[in-house]
Amino acid sequence: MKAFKSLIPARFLVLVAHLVIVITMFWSLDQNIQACLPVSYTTDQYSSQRTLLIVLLSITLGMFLLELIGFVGGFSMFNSTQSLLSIGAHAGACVALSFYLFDQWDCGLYGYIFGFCSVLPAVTETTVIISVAAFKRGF
Amino acid sequence: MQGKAVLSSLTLEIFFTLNAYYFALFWLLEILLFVYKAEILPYPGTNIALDIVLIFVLAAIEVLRIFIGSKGNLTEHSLSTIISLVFLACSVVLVIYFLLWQTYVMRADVVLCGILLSLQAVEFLFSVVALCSFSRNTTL
Repeated sequence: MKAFKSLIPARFLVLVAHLVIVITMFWSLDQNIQACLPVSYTTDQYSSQRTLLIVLLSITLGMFLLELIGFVGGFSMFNSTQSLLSIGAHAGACVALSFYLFDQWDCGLYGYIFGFCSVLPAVTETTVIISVAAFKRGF
Repeated sequence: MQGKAVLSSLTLEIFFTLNAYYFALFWLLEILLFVYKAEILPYPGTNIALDIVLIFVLAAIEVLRIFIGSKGNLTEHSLSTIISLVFLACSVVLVIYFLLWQTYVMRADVVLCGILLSLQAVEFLFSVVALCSFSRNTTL
């Protein structure tokens, strides 16, 4: 029971940590774009990569909103399966994204981080919200 | 007492709890950022002393505010809620100091202070709502 209680603050803090990194990425967008382009690139290539990253980062922020609503709204606050999945995914994202920023990773890799660490918990969160709101039961 | 409706706000209590944990993270990260800034940037005069003293003052105010606010909410006590709102005003001024007026403001500072300010804004809103319902239902 004690470990179960500490899942709630752990999940919130890990979510906030991921949120802080994503907002910082929005701010320092240009350095990472240069890392995933060939040595001599055209303005078209640059702007298309930039648009792609901006779209992905905006969707990430939207998924944060969804997950925070599900969490603070109480849909999945006491659901330990969803909490553990969310903690794992977002903690992984924090580590991967700090390497991404410090080591200037190829920005194509952000797609994988986005898929596994933002979309996956958001999809399960949506399932939990639907099952609680529509069928009145959690998993 | 029988049949009396519960006036305490659950949402406010959730936000107080989350804010307490978030503030611990915020405080730790600010201290680490001060260490980083003192390493790489030249601080003019005694500015670093002021910044560090103020982060400790902020910690004291936040702890008091969350404790008094949470107790006031649970006991449906208007005066405690008002005191916690006064502390909230002081705390917001200090957070704005760290957001705008401290010696060196980094991007991480801006993001951390922004999240804390938005939590405090939500708490202000729910505190006022709770205060209204407490004072309407009690005879002072």
